[in-house]
Amino acid sequence: MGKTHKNVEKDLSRIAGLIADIRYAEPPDSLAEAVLGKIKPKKLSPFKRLWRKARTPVLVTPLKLLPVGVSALAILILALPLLWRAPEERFVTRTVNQVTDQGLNTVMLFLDRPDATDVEVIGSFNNWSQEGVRMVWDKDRGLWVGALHLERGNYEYAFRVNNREIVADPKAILHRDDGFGHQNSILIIGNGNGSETRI
Amino acid sequence: MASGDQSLVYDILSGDVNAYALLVKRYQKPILNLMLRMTGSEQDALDLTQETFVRAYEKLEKFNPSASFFPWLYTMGLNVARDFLRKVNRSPIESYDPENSFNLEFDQDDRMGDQIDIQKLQERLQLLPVDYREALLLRFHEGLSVNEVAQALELSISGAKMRIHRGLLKLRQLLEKQ
Repeated sequence: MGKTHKNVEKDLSRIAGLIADIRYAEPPDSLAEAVLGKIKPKKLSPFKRLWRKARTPVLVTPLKLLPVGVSALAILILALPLLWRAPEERFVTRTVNQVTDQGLNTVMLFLDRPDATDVEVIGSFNNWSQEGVRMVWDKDRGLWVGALHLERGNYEYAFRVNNREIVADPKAILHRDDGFGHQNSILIIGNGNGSETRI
Repeated sequence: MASGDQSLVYDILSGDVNAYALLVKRYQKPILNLMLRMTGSEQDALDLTQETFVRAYEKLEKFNPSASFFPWLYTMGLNVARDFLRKVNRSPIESYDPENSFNLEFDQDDRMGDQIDIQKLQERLQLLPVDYREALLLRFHEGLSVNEVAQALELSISGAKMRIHRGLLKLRQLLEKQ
């Protein structure tokens, strides 16, 4: 009896293992984009925002904090000479909380290509015109920086490096095949309700 | 819960519509496959997956920020699928051969030895009642805790444990039948 029970448990455990290995269909790339095309940015009142923030659990206990604190101090001491580079992490493509006099949204773009001598942004915002928007080399950040002023809508864009190499924005979440072997990045400009938007 | 879901939800509710793209990308695969199992139709599955994410976005204010996002989304997905089947007056499908039915690409799997077993298992799994099947997939394929399975299927924790155990036993019986 005991042996039979053991065998059943063994079978169940093997079945569980096989379930983990079941193959799943891959969603098409266009799915996320299609969803985003159907939704509008939300606007939560500051009070509700604060209430939700307060209810969002923080997964840290005092006991966990102690080794973290010691490690953080050690890392801080070791990393001091490198600290000036840390803010670069924040430099992903984003819509900034700024609207021009013409009611256009300002989008900041960043590209980490220190080897490049010239970088432009090209895209559907000007019908893929040969004349892109020139980016400038920011010596302090060690990045190419550019700004676009755009109306609400969805745009495709890419960087043209050294006037020949087309590269997608490595920090963009959404991409689409351009049909010529390249990927374009996708930029979605909402109604600009003051929040920073990561792309 | 995958790290960062809660802060993404917070960003989305603060107006960052693109943060939702990350949640969609993170969970589109299990939701799409749920819809394929429910409908057996690639086009219906794609439509219902989109509808699930759109509905979840619309109801995001009701999401409890201290709970896990994926079980909440899955509950919504199951409701979307059931509403659809009711509307078209159909039951969840009982069998389908995923790799021969759809144009979608599948995970790569090099373990040929287990391939036959997995295929047979997938067919038998489809014969289980939906609640048993989904409990097993959530627990063993998605790696959810029993507590999260209970949330997703709107069961008590002991109910979820029972569903998983009985589901395994039923599946074993089905696999024994040739």
